[in-house]
Amino acid sequence: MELIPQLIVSGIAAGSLYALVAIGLVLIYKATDIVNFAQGESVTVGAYMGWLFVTEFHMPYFPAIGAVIVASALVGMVVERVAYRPLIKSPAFTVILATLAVGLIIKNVIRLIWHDTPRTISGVLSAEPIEFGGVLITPERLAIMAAVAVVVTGLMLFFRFTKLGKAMRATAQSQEAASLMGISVSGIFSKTWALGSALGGIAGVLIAPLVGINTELGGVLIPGFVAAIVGGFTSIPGAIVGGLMVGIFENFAGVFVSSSFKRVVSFVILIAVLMIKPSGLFGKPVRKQV
Amino acid sequence: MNILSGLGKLAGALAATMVIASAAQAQQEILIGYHGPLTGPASWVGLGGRDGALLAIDEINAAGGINGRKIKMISYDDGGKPSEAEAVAKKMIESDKVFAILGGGISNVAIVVGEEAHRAKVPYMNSTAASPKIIDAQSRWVFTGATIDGRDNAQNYVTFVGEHLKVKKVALIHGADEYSQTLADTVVKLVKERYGVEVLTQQKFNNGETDFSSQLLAIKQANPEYILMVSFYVEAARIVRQARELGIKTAFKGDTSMMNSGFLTIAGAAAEGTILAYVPPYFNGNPIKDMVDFEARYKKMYPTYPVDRPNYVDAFSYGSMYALAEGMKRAGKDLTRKGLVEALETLQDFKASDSWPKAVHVIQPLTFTESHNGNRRLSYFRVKGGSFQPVSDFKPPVPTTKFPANATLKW
Repeated sequence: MELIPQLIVSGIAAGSLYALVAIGLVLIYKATDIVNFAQGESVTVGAYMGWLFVTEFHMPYFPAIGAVIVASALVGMVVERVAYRPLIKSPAFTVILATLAVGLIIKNVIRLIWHDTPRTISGVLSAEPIEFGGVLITPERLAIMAAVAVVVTGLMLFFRFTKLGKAMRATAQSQEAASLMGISVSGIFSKTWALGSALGGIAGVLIAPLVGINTELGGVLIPGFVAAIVGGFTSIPGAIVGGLMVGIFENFAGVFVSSSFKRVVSFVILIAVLMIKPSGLFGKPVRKQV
Repeated sequence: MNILSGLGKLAGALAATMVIASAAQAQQEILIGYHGPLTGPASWVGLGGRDGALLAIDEINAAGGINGRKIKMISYDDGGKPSEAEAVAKKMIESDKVFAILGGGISNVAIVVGEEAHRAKVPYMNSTAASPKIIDAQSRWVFTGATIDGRDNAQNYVTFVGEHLKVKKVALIHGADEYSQTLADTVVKLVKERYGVEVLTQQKFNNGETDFSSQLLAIKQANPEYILMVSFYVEAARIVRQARELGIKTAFKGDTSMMNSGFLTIAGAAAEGTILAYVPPYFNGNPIKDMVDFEARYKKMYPTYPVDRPNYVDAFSYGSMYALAEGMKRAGKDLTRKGLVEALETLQDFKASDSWPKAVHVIQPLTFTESHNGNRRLSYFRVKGGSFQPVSDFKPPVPTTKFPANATLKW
């Protein structure tokens, strides 16, 4: 086994999941100025829905992923309508607190329904590793990395070429100007939350066969959050680079420094980036008029 | 001075009321107080403890009770918080005037209830908590039943590695929580001292993590003969699954917190061959008559319970309640709290089914003749064909180290 390349590849495998969480955070933040602390729970919801579709409704895994995307988007819209829309005129901080509450509610409702018994979705792809030049990777992990690449490319194309994507970008730049151009800002908000929730859902249903499903799955918010900040919090490519960096750096620190240092290193990167380039690697400095 | 003598009179009056109360009680039901976290994240402990005890009480009462008297249990939610535990203990002791207390609580809570029980001279049977501090308080009123003291758990772990696995070079991966850290550190120290086993690398992780590649790659580099784990079952399952992904074929030996069907659910085929320890002698679904009967009776009494119940806490509490009942039976017709303590101290390798024909044997035999630390044994299982199969070719010796050394228990 080649240790260094293996650390990088395993780091990318873990990091692509962090990137997916980070992108969800960035999308919502760009459009609404809200940091969504319930993004981790949208991962949990996606995983549980995947389990429901596959195990309880006997759907094959791949169509189930599609179903999870749709269902997660719906959950996102409902949560936006019920919890965040009434707060649209409140300061951003109030809404951020509301996202914390939503996360806690989701987690505990799931615990109430399905208790603490962990679930899983039996994987369709092999968990047996294949070797490429001394580096081991399983088809499962490769598929997740490929899926993340597809999702990211799809998102980029969506923002560049579709009318809705352009409207979302316009709203992110200036809500006032966007609404003057005839864009329904509240409609865009609703769709943004749907998209963010769907991204979390994808992450959940992809990771479920590998790590199982329980109510604590939302803990992946933390590395995702660090990834988003490292990437500047307003840039999708930044979120991806941030996610992969966190994954790879964690692995190197874990092996060459100490396993107790593994999670600490994300925060070290975070502080280093904020000290050297406070707007993040890919962010642009923001000026606010006071 | 006046205040002191006033207090003295009050205490005298209270004692008198308690004497009258217990005299009146002698003709009636025996009231047992129960505490455990009935709500919150640890509620599976508290609810299991309550329901297991109620099943035992149901059987005991159906068999005629204790020398003709029925048992009644009153349950309180301690929320898993030491601050609430004190209030709950005082309520049971002073307002309900329970005859004895059965505990289904977590360690920090059981320590507090133990102190209160000692002060009020009420017998306390802790069935679930594993903290050494409970026994180290050296109270004659406090007993630890079906669970195992953390130090005995470590000793058993080490004996298994040295005398059954007989390996010399191991790696250790463990959680960063206090329980796992303490157990892991003790194991590292004792395997070296007693069997000359070298721990090549000690890797840590935070609970709730989903990625363990750096820890596992460090272990792979060290190339151990066996990988020892101290982990809760969700993380443990992720670790063994990810180890196979990284081409690690070394076998794993886990501890008692990993024995949960959730471990098999998440790890799937990767779990095969893993050895785990367990405090009760059997696992859910083991085709042993006592276990089959226990599960059938449980399901009959609680038809709406989730699939993973009864869990080991149900068994702990069921067995510990029987030990308490046996003590009361042996204490005779004129049941007193002191008499119960003295009678409990005669229990040696007690199995509920030996004395109560209808009872099933689902915990390790309890012995209180040496110390109030009733159980010092573990049993071992290997994952085979997707289920936990008992490891039958190893009869683990029972630890003999006394905790605390040369202890004399105080009334």
